[in-house]
Order: sequence, then structure tokens, then C-alpha cells
Amino acid sequence: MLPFFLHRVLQAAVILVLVSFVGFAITLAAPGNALQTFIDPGVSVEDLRAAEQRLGLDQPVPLQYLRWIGEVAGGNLGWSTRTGAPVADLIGARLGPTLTLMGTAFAITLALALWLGTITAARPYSFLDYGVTGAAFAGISVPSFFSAMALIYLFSLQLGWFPTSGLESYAAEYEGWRRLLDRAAHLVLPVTVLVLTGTAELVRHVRGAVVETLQEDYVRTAHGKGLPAGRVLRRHALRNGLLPVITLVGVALPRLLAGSVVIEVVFAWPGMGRLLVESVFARDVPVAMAINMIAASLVLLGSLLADMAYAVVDPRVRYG
Amino acid sequence: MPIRFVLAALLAASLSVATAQRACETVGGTATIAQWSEPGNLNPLIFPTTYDTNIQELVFARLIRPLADLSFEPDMAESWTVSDDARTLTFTLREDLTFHDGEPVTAADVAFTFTSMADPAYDGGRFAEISILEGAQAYRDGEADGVAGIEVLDERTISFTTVEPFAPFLPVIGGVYILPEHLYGEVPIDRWQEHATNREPLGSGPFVFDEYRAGEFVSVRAFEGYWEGRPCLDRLIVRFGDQNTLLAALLNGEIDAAPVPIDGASSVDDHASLDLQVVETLTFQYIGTNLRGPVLSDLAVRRAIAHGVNRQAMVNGLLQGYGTTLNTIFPTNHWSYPADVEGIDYDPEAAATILDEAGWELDGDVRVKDGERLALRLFVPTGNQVRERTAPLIQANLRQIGIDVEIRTMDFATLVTFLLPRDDQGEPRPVTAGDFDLFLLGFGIERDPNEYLSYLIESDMPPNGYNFIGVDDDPVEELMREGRVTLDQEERQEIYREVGRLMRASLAWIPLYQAQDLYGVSERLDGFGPDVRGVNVNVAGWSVD
Amino acid sequence: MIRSRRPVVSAGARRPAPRAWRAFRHHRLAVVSAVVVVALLIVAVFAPWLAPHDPYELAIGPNGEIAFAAPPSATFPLGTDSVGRDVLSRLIYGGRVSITIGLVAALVAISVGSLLGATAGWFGGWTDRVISRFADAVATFPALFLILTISSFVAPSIFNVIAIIGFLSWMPAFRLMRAEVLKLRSTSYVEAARALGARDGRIMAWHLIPNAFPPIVVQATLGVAEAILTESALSFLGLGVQPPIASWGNMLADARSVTVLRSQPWLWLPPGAAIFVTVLAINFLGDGLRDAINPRAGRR
Repeated sequence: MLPFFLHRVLQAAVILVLVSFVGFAITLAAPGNALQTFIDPGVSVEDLRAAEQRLGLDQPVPLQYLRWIGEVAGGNLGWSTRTGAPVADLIGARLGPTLTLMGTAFAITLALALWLGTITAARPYSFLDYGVTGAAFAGISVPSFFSAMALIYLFSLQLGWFPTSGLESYAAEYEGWRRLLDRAAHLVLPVTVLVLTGTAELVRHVRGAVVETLQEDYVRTAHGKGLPAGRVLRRHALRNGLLPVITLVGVALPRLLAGSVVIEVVFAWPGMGRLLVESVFARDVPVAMAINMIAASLVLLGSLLADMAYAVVDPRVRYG
Repeated sequence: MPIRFVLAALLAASLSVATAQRACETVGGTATIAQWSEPGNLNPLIFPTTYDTNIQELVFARLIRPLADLSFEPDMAESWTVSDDARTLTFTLREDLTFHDGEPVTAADVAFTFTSMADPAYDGGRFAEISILEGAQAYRDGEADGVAGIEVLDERTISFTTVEPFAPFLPVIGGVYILPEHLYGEVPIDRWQEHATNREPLGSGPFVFDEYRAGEFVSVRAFEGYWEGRPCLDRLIVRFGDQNTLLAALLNGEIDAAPVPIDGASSVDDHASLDLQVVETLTFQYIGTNLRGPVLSDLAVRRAIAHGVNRQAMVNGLLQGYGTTLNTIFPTNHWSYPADVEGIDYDPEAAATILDEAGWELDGDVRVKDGERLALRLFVPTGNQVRERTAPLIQANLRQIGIDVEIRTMDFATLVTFLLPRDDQGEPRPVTAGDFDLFLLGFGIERDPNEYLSYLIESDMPPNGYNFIGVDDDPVEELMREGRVTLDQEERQEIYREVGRLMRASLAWIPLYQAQDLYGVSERLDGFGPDVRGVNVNVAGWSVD
Repeated sequence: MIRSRRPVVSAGARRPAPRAWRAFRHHRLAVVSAVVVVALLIVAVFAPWLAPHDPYELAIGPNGEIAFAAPPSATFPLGTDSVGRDVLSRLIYGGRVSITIGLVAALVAISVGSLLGATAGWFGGWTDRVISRFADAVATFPALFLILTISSFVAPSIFNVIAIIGFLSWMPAFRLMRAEVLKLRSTSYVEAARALGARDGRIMAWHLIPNAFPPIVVQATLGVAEAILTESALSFLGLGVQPPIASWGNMLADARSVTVLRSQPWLWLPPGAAIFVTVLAINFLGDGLRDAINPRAGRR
């Protein structure tokens, strides 16, 4: 197990380096740099040049890359060219909200998809099955920002049940339980959108996996032995049907992160996705690069965990 | 002596020592306003944009501040005098001014702030504003120990001397927020942007900085010791977000005031507890031209474009009436705008005639002259929805008179790479005819028409300055330089108005429209009233029910 | 995935008649979807003949007045947009753009993926390892993150949007092709062809690749739907197809404004419905195709 683990970590490191190089090369192919957003009659052209030199923006690309890599290796993610804030601080502040959003959405999506996928697999071709499958297809066919706007319009503006945006009610300065409740209220709509899309995608895979498992010989044997259907489902079918689902979960992570970008913009959620959009528009290369690297790291971590979960769930799988 | 006399005397004494009080409808409470972009830097000496200044205005104070007509009234300086040769301004600070940490505001802090802008290591972009001070350039070049023209006379008195009489001297002083030397002086200037003070500012303004949650909001609290009396509000929150998200939040009662995009106006107007405020600005939008090519250097072409575009339709349709057309490069509500300037009628037939007479003959859909097609590229920067929408209109209008326009949309930073081009080594270089043809951009007056200088004089064509259009007009240049040093206000007004008339004639900038800004304000918030000075007008007097 | 080779029997066995009915129903759905997709393709191809107006032309009246954001009327069946252009025409041409982007991006993706997959599978060894690592690296990025980063720097244009989406979606096709090639590489079939003197390239082109086609076609179909959705997200953020060119994505982006959402539904409902119907139909079609090539997969 351990050699496999080490091997995977090494692989991950190689991939990260590749990822960083590609990303960096691309961002620097951009026309214009961070300072060119500051055109202003009060700023003399000489001052702009001086600032560029200080930030190292006028150096050739390979040099800038090496400088950046050197700093990252030393634990320093650099400073934002837009605001001068340390990149690590900027991203650190945004990591929490993104993880909260994604984590909650992910947990609910998983639970919902597993539940719906299983019950529809147990009653294939029923009304329920068609209903859920139809809803799933609909769910993956609507752009997420549109669902977001529709939900805001319906549940915030028309019904007034939930706030339209933000992490919490800033002016109210709640504490303790009230604050938790307030934050939860702000979480509802964005998570709903993510859950709708995520479940729609996942549920059909779960259903398919469970249906296939239910046709396996050992399942038929279990039925033949007279075990109650529910027990067969839970004890045998689900556990084995889970295997492909775990792989899917590993793959779902990048998709979820990607999905969070649009949601965060619409709901003014202070997460990494929104920061990426802002820094990309402001040509803030250090921040954009760092976010891509962190996102890639998260994804690699996720797939590593998925592989390990795979080994746990299926005793036949042994890495070595 | 009877005890009540003693008490009365004590009371009278304490009242006279207390800071000034202001009349508030209610004291206390939190108001939430919003802006469409997050601030970048909270240190007012580092490349400030409007989104930065909006926050800085709350935390910092200046010597003088503008009135609605852009003249100045005392702020931290209680009075000032002008020397006979008009080259020296001497300011006297009020007594008992303090920063938010209790330290007194002295002339030394003022001197520190201005001197920093000329520091050789300073690269926050504002040196050009004060380069007119005597000795500033020498200090900047490392040849002197300080700026000779900045003199601290005593604890509360400071004088500024310029190299020559400089008309916009007051606006320059009025644009600088005073930093506490005991804090900002401890940080090397070249690290100012990265230092914590750039995210946790401390000044002497009406509000004390409280919290900055990146991506979410900035929060400030009332400064009890503010010289003009503590603000009515206890706390002010400025939220940031996308314009549509904020509009939804405003409509849902989560924000008290926010700028409203044009197509949100009706929603705010119809809303029971929201008030739509229409605010004049000093910004206008125009079509810029590249005067270097054979096509656009022809005045006939520029005149045809000007008369061929239906600018009123832009105002009526795209701005829904919240704006006006303008006929030259100064905002219509500023004293520099010549009221008698010649109008620009929408007359496609006349435009077609102008082109015919200039030798541009219709060949199918597009006009041709000497083998050259009348085809132009129009660069449109994103970031201003209404301006983006004018592009197809311009294209359609000009197609009607035989000009082929190709629209290229790009973000602002990319447009700048065309306007201020660089060579292969990355060095700024002069603009050539092929770099761009037409572009859309906004401009305006922040404090003084002298801000236009670098855009209109021949010596400031790139790489030296911002005259990317390539205006090379001796009378205009002479007038702009004269306006800089003419002190008589009446004379000055006439100078800039003449510039306005000349620029109308040359149409190097083809003015389009001047939009009004819209704000949605909740009935809960009193005292909110933006004008040309910005959004925080009278912020200390805002109150909530 | 473990696959049973027994005939389809579900946990609770059903009567044959309803099963045929189910199969027919499912097929009907796929057939209907196929018809819808073909209809959309026809509309896209024949756009210039079907659209009543020029999508770029503003409706300029005799006195120069322009009908901004006008509700549906006789001349403009779906009304005009915020700049005064006919919505129906823009919808049709926009469909052309969005569908083209979807198709070509998917094509790019499967071409690149198949090529790399065949190469990796056939040559194995270091080639395989390097290419697979590279595929992992690209797959590690949350697609939209990288697309965003690139999009804002490369001048947004239809071509660039296609290239970006295409070059970031090739991994599934790569894996499919590689797996197929690996599987077939060592069969006696291939050995026989080799013995007969066929060159490697010929074997790949004529035998291996066509065998891998069916799952790849399914992948491509789903990829088209994905690309259309990605384009709409990009346009929403302002990095997709730029106005004045119409695409369903940038037409839908108008719905960001609450006012438009509430009082000008003709601006966003048509493109929204169009995206929904198109993507839905393609998904059904892809699902149907997948079942067609895997009749024993036991899904439906």
C-alpha cells in the first residue's frame, strides 16, 4: 500500500509542475499586464514603467516563471499585482467559503444521488423512475447561472424566503446561534443550485451501477436464499455498486469546483472561483496562477482519496 | 458659593471643551451601501481608482475639500492664504485635530504626505500631480534631501510653493488625503503596497477603519473625535459585487443604497420603499480616432461620422433618457463647456454629401477613394454596458452612409495595449496608423480641466503621454498651456471654452453622450445624495431610521 | 465496470409485454430527440434563408428612431433586443453559432483524443506514460478555471472559444481510444494483419480506430451538449462569443438583470428554451446511442 501511495504522490507532484508551467505560459501570453488597467491622467507614463520594473513585469517569461516557482517552493505565493496583498492571505480568506459551499453541496448531492439512484434502480421503469430520470436530464440541460437567477427571482425577490447574495447579513452583526442560522440561510440558494446540477449528473450513474449490480449472480443467489429485498439492496448491491460511484466522485471534484465559479459570481459568494474571475480580468497573474495550482492540488487530493476509498471498500483491490 | 453655580460653571466649561456637535435626525445604526467593484488599494497614494477613493474618503481627510461647484472649502485646514506672486499657498490647520489612534494631526504629517509623493522610491503613480512643486523634481532625482517647496512653518502651519504660478494649485492640494507620519513613515515607501496599511488604513476622517473582508465588504465605524462632530451613523458597510447581484440585494432590502444600472431603473422606481436618485456626472463617452492614417486624418470623414451617428437615439434608447448629448470634449455641466458651441446634428444625408464632396464615392455598400475603402475598425472596451451597446448602433448608422465598421470588443487592458503600444522588446513606442482606427472611451473632469493636458499636446504623444489620438493642433496646445498658468478665473474659463470650440471643429474626439448615474436609495437612509464629487457627499451626516 | 452477460432480468421479473413497451418508449424518445437535433441542424445550416431579418441590423425607422427592447409584434415575432435587433433572427443565427461551437469543439476534442489515445495505446511504454501523464495534468484542472484563465487573455472569438473548449475536453475520448487500442493490439486479428505485411499506421487507421468509434461517437454527442453549456457559461461571464455576434449564451446573459428577467422575457426565454431543448435532445440521443451499442448493459 505504501509504495503505491508514494508513487501516486510523486505522480501528483509531476503533474503539478506540468500544470504550473502550462498555466504560467498561458497567462503571460496575455496582451497587457496588471498595471495597464490603471490608465489615468494623473499617472505619468514614467511612473507606470517604474512600477512595472519593480514588480518584474518587464522581464522575459522564463525568468518570471523561475522567479515565481522559486518563491512558491519557499512557501511564498507572492503578492497580488492588483492590490499588493500577499496571495496566500487572499486565497486563504476565500478557501473557507468555497469549501463550505462545495462541501455542503457535495455531501447533499452524494446523499441525494445515492438515495434516488438506489430507489429508482429498485423500481425500474416505474413512474418514480421516469420522474427522477426525466428531472435528471432536465437538470443537466439547463445552464447553472440560469437556475441561479431563477431561484433568486422566485425565492428571494418574490417570496422573500432567502437573501439574494452574500455570506451573511453583514449589517446585523449576529453572534452565536443566530449567526449560524443567518449563514445557513445565505447558504441555501447557492447550495440548491449546485445540488440540482450535481445530483442530476450523479443519479443516473448511481442508478446504472446499482441496476447492474442487482443483476449479478450473487444478488440473485441472495434473493434465491430468501433474503428480504431491502437487505439485499443495502448489504450487497449497494456496497458493490458503490465502487464505480467512488471513481465518479473523484472525477466529480473538478466539475464541482468549475461549477462553483458561476454560482459564486451570481451570489456574490466570496470564494476562490469568484476571485479567479476577478484576478483574471485584472490580469493579476500571481493570484490566478496560485488559484489554478490550489485547485489542481485539491483535485489531485480528491482523486487520491477516492483511490484509497476504493481500496477500503473493495477488499479485493490491493495496490502494491 | 451655592453649589448649583459651581455645577453650572463646570457644565459650561465642559461644553466648551467638547468637540463640535452636528445635528442628526437619529444617532446610531448601521447603513449598508454598495459599489460595483472591490477596492484594490486603501492607501490613497497608490494608484487610486474611484472604487478605492470611495473607501479612502471615509477614513482619511484632506486640507480642503470641494463643494458641488468644485470650488474649495476648508476641511482640516481652517484657512489659507495666497502669496502675492500666487506661487505660495499657506495653510493653517485647525486646533485639536487627531488621527483615529489619538495622535495629533500636525503640519509635519501634511509635509510627510506630500513629500512621499516625490520620494525617489515612490511609484504609486501620483508624482506627476505634485511635480509642479518647487524642488519636487530635484528631490525625486535624488539631488536634494527634501522638497524645497514644502515648508513647515510651525505645528499647525505649512506652505507650498510652486515653480511657476499654477492655476489648478488648490485642486492638487485638495486631492491629497493626509497620512499619519508616525504610522506610514515607518514603512519603506517601496513596500507601501504590500504593507498591511494598504488594507488596514488609519487616517483622520469621519470614520475609523474596522474590517475589510475581501470579496465581501469594508466596514467602518464612527470616529468620535472627528473635528466636525462624530458622524450620525455608528457603522457604515460598503459591499462589493456584480451590478446585477447588488441590484437584487437592493430590491430585497439587504442594501440601503447602491448604484443602479440603466435597465434596473424601472425596477427601482416601481419599488415601494426605494427612491431613484438621478445624479449628474462630469464624465462623457466619445469615439476616439487615430489621426495618423490617410482616412481619419481627413476632416471630412470625421465630420461625416459625427453627423452620421444618431447620438440622441443613444440617449433616448440606451440611456432611457438618463443623459444628454454633448458637442465637445468638456462635460456640459462644467464651467469649461462653451455654451455657444456648435451643435452636431444627426443628418445622414448631409454626412453622405460631405463624403461625396470629399471624393469618397459609393461603390456598392462602401465608399471608395483612390483605391482605399472607407472601412474602419472600432475597438470597444468591455466594462460599460451602455457604451458596448452603442457600438452596433454606430456600425448600423455608419453603414447607412457607406462606411464599413468592424467592431472589435476587448477588455480594457487589451485596448490600452493598442493605445499605448509597445515594441518587440516591450518598450513603449509611438503610435502608428495601423495600431487602431476608432475606439470608444470615456473621459471627464475629476477636479480641473488641466487633467486634459497630456491628452491634447503634441509632445505628449505616446510613448511620452496620453495623446494617443495624435492631436497636433498649435492653437489648442497654446491654450492648454496658457490655461495652466492663468490665475484669473474668468480668463481661464474663456481659455478652456475656446479649447472646447476648437476641438468641436476638429472632431479628433467625436463626443457622444454624457450619462447620468442612477442610485437606488432605501427610505431608511437619510442624507444620501451623490453629486459630481462622488458618492460619499455628506457621509458624516447620513442617518438611518 | 463488471458487466453481466446474461440476458436482462431485473430484481423483480416483469411480464414481457411491458418490457417491449418500455424498449419502444425508450427508442421513441431517442428517435424524437434525433429528429429534434436534425431539425436544429437544418435551421442552423439554412439560417440565412430562415431568419426574417439581418441579425446585426438595427430596426431603424424612417426618422432614425430605433425600437429598443420592443415586445413581440408582427414585424418582430420575438421582439427586439436592447440594441434594437430582431430577436428571432438573432436566435436563429445564434443557434448557428452555438451549435457550430458545440459540434466543432466536440470534433476537435475527439480528434485530438483519438489521435493521442491511439498513439499511446499502440506504442505503449514511454509514449504511453508521457501522454497519459499529460492527460492527467490537463484533466486535473477544473475545466472552467483553465478556460477562464485562457479566455480572458486570448482575444475572445468564436475560433478561440472552439479551440479552448476543444483542447480541454479531449481526455474522455483519449481514454476510450487508448483502452480500445490496448485491448485489440495483442489480438490474433492484429497479428494476422501484421503477418500479412500491413503497416502499423494502416492497421490503426483501418481496424483499430473504427472499432473504437461507437463509444467515441457517444462521447462526442455528449461533448456537444457539454460544449454548448460551457459556451453559455463563458458568455455569461463575458468571455465567450462577443457581441455583436449572437450566440445563445450571450443572449441568455441578458437575463442577469432583474428587470429583464421580470419584464422582458422575450429577451431570455427564447435562447434559454433553445439551449434547454437542444442540450436535452442531445443528451437523450447520446443516451440512446449508448444503449444501442451496449444492448446488454442492462440499463433500460
